[in-house]
Amino acid sequence: MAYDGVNAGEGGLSAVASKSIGDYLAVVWSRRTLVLVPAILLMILSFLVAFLLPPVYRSQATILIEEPDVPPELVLSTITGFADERIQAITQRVNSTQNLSAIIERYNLYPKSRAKLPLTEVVDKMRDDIKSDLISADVKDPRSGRAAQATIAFTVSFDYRDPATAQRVANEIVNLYLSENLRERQSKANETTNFLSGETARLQKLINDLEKRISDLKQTSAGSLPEQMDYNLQRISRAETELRDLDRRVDGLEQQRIYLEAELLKMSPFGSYVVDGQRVMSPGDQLKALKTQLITLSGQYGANHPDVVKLRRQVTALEGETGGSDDAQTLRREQERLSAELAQAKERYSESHPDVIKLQRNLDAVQASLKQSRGKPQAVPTAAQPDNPAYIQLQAQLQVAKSDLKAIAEQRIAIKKQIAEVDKLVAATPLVEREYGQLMRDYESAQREFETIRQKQMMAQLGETLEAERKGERFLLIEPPSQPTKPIKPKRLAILAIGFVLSIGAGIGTALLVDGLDKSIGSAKQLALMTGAAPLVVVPYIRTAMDVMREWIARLGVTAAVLATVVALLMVVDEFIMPLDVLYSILERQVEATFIRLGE
Amino acid sequence: MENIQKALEKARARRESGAPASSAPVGGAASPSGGYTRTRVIRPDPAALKEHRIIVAENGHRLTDTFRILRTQVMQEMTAGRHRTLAVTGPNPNEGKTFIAVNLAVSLAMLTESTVLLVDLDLRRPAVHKCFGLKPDVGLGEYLLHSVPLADCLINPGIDRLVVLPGGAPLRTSSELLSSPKMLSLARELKERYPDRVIVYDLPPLLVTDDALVFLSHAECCLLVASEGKTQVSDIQRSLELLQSTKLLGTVLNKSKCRVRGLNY
Repeated sequence: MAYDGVNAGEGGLSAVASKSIGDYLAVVWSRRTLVLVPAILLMILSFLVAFLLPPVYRSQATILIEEPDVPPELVLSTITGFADERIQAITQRVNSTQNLSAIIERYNLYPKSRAKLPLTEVVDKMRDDIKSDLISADVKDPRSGRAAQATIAFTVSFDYRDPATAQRVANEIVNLYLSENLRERQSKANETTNFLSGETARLQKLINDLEKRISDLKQTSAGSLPEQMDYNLQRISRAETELRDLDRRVDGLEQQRIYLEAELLKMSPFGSYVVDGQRVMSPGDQLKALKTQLITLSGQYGANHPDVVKLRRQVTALEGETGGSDDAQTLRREQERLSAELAQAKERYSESHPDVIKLQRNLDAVQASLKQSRGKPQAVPTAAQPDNPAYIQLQAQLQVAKSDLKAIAEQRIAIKKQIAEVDKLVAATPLVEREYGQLMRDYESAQREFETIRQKQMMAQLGETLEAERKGERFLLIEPPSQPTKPIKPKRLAILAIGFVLSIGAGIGTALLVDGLDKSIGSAKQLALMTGAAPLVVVPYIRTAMDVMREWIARLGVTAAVLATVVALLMVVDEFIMPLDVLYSILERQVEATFIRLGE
Repeated sequence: MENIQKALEKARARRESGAPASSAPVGGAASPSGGYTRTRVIRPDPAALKEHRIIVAENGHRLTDTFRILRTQVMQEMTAGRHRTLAVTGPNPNEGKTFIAVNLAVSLAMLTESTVLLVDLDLRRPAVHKCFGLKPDVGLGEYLLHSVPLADCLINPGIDRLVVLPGGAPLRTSSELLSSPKMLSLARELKERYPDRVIVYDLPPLLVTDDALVFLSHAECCLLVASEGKTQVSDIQRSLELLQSTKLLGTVLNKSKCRVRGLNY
């Protein structure tokens, strides 16, 4: 027989390429003790667990979420959000540490845990025992018309090992739910109205503020307000027109004045009348001429010259006639003329030049006359009195024209000032316009907002009333918690079944595991695979008497060991966990109960 | 058992009568020349046979057929290849090499065409003699070391056509002895002495000492014994590697827990 090279396998099962069920079964069979031992142990364990676990009872209540009495179209509730969210929120509040610890104290729950653990942990444990579930129904969404799920009710339950206590505590919890719900709804409605009232107050203040600012602005910028712009512009244009008018008049008047002045110059102020074909000078003119002559002569010949004295006598006489006196003005003019001439002469000639001396003497005389005339009361300046009627008329006209011009000039100044002022107002208007516009806009928008909020506030107040009178959506207890008769946990049969399956699995698993780890030759097949041909023969194990004896000894030994372990375990249980007779009676009771229920 | 009883009586009678032992029917290898004129016949101890599981000696044991099957396959192979020396070995101790070797030898001896010489080559722990309940003074070890005449070592354990060469007292220097020139010449001689004699060598474990390895070249074919649930796969692999240069007739799976068919056929 030919043998192939070594085909490495590992042990029993894994060496075989295609593992059939038969191979697995063979392994299990060949290691049957290894299968049975863990299986049996686990079965016992699951049996104990199934029947020793303490029962837990559940007391459950159902609460319906009732529709509001007043339809939402009439009064919209201020409570929004889906029922499930609210139920969640209420659950959170009901399950507060405060509430639960109060209940724990009152009904003396979890005495053993409370002795060992801090209260917060016991409260956590209690929270796990409180359960709430939503009940929904298929409804039609009124807005979209599509089918939807809506929560119409919910259940609340409490689990505990004593049924009576479970019921009482469940009752407490249900009450907490109902009262919390009420409280929450009312407080929420109240909060909404409060909030809205706050808003209205704020807006009112804002509006008042803006009103004040607008009036302030109007005051400070009076005249520059946008609505006054047109008026201002009109004023300016009117003033400008007036100005133009005045300018025209000024032009005219100026022309007239020039004309009149020119005419006056041409005309003699004294009316000349003819005597004997000769023009006779008026006495005033005569006096003037004599005086001038006197001055010249006195300068030429000195004051004491007989001609000079004669002339002086004539002058005085004429003065007496006319009643005129020295014309200060004439003297002054004379003084000025002489001073100018003197200065000129001094430049040309030296001090001792006869012209210079003459002029000096004249000037001194004039100055002395001036001094004199100062002391005298002012005589009527008849010397300057013109008597030419035409001249006088022209003079009068000129006066009129001049005074008109003056008046007009003043008017012009006034108007110009006015224009400047209005211009300033107009210039300021854009800025004012901007500010004013802003304020007005703010004001209007504040007013609009105020209106809206006021409406909402009124609605909220209605909603508040709705809650206060419990006409809104509310919770209704339709099934109060009852005292449970049957425990919900533990499901003993289920535990037994699972235990059974698990133990078989564990047994088989152990066997397969051990087999997998076993790297010895397990079958002729394996040897055949390795060597390339089947073994020539397979010789079974031959048991001799010695072998039999050895096996018996081994069995005895194992049994003894197992018994010893079991006894030790029982002693431990008896000592530390529960006395064995108590354990037995519990087990007995539970098994009976289970089978009674099975029979039902 | 009856046949054997009869043979034993006959042999005893002949011995007592002092006639030279004839060849064939009564136990083993007696030849005119070469020094094996007669072989001692010692009846085996039934208790020992039972203890060491030499079942072939009993008639009608349920596994007799199993060994017959082995015997036939072996004979067919050996005849086809004209081999006459067979080594029985295994990877580890206590796998049943001796058990298989002895049972096979006895089974072969029951075939009337040949004689069988069973040589115990496990010089460290010789076990063949124990199977028959023999307590020989001298064996192969003494032959090799002290040049005890071979004829004195051979034993017929009361089974026709079977001669046993026990190992002798346990020795530590087995490896050296087995590779000595004396052993080599013995092996050659044993083979060539009788053309129709089958020689079965019970070798020590392959992986424990090198004795087997050393001797394997002098055996024409070999048989590998493995025990179910005990022999590791890696040991088999290693053994197969070591046996590559020898003609491996096949394997035997020992100590199997599987059902063997037709036990009561």
